[in-house]
Amino acid sequence: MGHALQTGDKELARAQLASDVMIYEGGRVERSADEYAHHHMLSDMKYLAAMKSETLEHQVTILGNTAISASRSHTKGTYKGKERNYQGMETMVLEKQNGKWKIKHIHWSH
Amino acid sequence: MTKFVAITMLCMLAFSSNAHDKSHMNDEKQITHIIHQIKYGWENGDGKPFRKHFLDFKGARYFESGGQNVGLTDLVEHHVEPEKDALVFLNLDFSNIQIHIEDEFAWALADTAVKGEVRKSGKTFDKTGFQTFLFKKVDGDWKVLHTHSSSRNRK
Repeated sequence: MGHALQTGDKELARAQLASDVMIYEGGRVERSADEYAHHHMLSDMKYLAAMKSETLEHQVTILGNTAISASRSHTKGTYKGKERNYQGMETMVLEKQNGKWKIKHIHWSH
Repeated sequence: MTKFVAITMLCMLAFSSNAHDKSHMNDEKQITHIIHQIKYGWENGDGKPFRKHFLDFKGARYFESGGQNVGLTDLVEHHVEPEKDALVFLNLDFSNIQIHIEDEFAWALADTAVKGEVRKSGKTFDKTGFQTFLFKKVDGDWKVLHTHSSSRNRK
């Protein structure tokens, strides 16, 4: 998902999401894949393309048909004239649907 | 005979479905109770609910708006308990709680509202945001594996 957003691959990013995904981002919420794809996904792609992000820590746990992912990253760069340098946190819940892992929930914060 | 077998099977199916619903309801009840205990713990700077309901394991991480606590002891001793002295008061509300259960794993999402006053500066804060809780069933009890909260100033 992170790679798809960073490289601006809309189809790949959309394909990772379950249709009823719930996305928390910076105190806001997006309640479906369509909502995210039509709202913040494009601005997230533009923003991430301008940033350099390094994963500091990443844990994945699989429990049957559900997986959880918790990661911490360091992001640095300049966007719209503003310098950014911060630690970001990401929590994901994924579910295996017809043999493919789909993201059911994302929580991003920094 | 066929009628008897069909009725017996229907009864068994109904019993099994009822038992599953009851078990699901009990799971939701237990998870909701834990969330309320966590609220109590934060508001009162009391680490006991965290020690009771969180799974203490080496890789445990608890995220809050770009920061993290590493392990349960760090969360309790460096975050939950110090707030008792650092804050004059803290009100934390969880609403719109949605619980998803998949066998031995569960996740819950909630809207949050947090208000408080910092003792040292007298500054107050009033924020809204979201909370993610991840749970695992261990020996019949639900345990918190991970939490993630983020908020911003109320508009």
